[in-house]
Amino acid sequence: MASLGFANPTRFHRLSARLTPPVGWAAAAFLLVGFGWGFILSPPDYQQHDSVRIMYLHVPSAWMAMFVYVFIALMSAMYLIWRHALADILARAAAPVGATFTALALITGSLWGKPMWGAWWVWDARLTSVLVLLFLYLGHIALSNAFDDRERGARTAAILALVGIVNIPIIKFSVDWWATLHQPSSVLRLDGPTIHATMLVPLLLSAVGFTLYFFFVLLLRARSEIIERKIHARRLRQSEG
Amino acid sequence: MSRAPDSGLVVENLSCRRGGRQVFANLNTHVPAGARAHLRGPNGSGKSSLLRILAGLSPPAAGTYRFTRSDHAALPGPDLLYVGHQNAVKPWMTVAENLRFWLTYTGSDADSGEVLAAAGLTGMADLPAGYLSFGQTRRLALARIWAEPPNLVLLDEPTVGLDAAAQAHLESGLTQLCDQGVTLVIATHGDGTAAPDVTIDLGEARA
Amino acid sequence: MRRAFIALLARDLRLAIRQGADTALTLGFFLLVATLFSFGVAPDERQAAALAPGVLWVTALLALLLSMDRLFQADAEDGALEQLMLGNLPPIGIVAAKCLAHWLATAMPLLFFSPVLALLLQLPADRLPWLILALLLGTPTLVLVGAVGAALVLGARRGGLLLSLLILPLYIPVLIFGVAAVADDNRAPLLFLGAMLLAALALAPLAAAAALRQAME
Repeated sequence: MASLGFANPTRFHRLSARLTPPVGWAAAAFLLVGFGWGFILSPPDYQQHDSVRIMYLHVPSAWMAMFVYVFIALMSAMYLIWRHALADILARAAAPVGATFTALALITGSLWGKPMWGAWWVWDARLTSVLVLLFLYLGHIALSNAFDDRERGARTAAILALVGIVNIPIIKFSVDWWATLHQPSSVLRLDGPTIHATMLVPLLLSAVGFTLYFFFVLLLRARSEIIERKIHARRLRQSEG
Repeated sequence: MSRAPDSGLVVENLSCRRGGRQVFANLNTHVPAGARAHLRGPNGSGKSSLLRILAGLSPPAAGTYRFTRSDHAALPGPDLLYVGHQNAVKPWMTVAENLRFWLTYTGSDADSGEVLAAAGLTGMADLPAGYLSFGQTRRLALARIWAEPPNLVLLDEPTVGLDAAAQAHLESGLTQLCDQGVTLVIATHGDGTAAPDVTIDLGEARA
Repeated sequence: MRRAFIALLARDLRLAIRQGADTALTLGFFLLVATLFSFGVAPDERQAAALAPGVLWVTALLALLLSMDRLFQADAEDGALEQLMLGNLPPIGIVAAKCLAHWLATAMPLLFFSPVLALLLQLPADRLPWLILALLLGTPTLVLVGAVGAALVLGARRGGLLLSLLILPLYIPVLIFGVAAVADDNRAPLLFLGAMLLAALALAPLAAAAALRQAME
């Protein structure tokens, strides 16, 4: 059993060594094209003028904030059910990245809100629920490191991640359920996007770039976590003589 | 009395991990129903961990365990009585209230006065448990042994803090339980107690 | 099972009464902080009345938060939690009984004293029923969500601090709708508080029970 628990992270370690560089280059390419198109080539909005360009940063960040959380929740469920060490490693590796995306979404949103709404911050349902998401990420990070026994921290943080999943539909539908200041979705709609192709294409390109970037950082962080664990295991063996 | 070969406690290939460390591995043992087993091993060999696994509080890393009552006599008490290191005694409730709560909570109809008398704690019933000495608190934690006999009793170092008289009293209680067909697993350091039917040495079960 | 539930509820209430200090501290904190506000930020009556719902809710919420970390801690420290988990009552029942006892012993006294504070903070008297109703619907949610946090941080380093980080953000929606319910003549916030209570009743015991179970391992 002990060897089985360790074999998978080791195999993952080897696989990820091969995957990391191409994922990183692909992320760079997509981000370069997406941002270049969005920030320079795409037309300004007829109402929002050039400030609409912050969308190419804001919208993918917000999508990633939710995507990464769902990813962590999935890993957490897998960890709780199968006690798979790799699931814990990936969840731990993803949390700070997700927190950063969430913070980025909030900051860019705030910068966008100032010229559009005339305020840096409004307590509407969308903003509040995303702020709660940020705190869920921070709580997850704090909780997973709060126990002397790391498996204990992993299980506890996993339960928190699953509890927090109720927040995700609230974020997604908050703009439809409540008459919020935040505009409703214009891309992920049942009746098709309401946004013009000259904006939609660079937006989707940056979104793909963000996603690839996430997996790039995830692989890097997971690898260093595995190495850290190997060191820890070696020290434990040394202490036992 | 006749004992079916696989009644009692059967442990197969049980392994325990704690904090990423292998505590014990591939433990195999059989404690027949109504037998008394002593659990031995140095500090950190996993005596408490094994008892917690057997109590169902934590899952084993690998392996299985099962407990089957002796065929002819299912005892009237609960399936399991586990007393760990800690006493679960509330200092703000009286001795009788403490005991009565646990009896009610576990669905026992035993009279708390009688149980206290059997446990040798008469006269203290109405005293807040905070006034008890360390040894007396331990005796209160162990008092449920004297309620209806449970089927399986797991005790973690029951004699810690008990004086010679209290140890002898506990010993007589345990002997009585064995005679009634109760299966006993006791983690113990001391050698002064009655001879066990089975000894489980965790010092040998290390990976 | 019902017998075990009632026994646990009765035990926790008895302990709360005997150890009156915990309830008294929570209540004292609530009264003191709310009073400080009435001295500190309200030079004129109209301003005070506008602030009153927020002040009442924030102080009640913080007072409850302070009391939450003991919910399972005391039983975990003396081994009672292990014994509770070994009984016939499933972990969900343990959580439910302890939450109910905690709400009765801690939140009820807050509710009882809130009208006094409300008047002290110049809340118009006709808003009092709304305040009581909002607290009645909101505080059980706070206790239930707090129970999840309390179960998660069992045995953690700096558990109390961690607990605040975990559950204060989750208290935000209750706070928003709670304040709105007292401030406006509008049924909607109360309905939201009710909906959140139902959701918490359905989900929180489940999550807290899962956390308790893994805390035992």
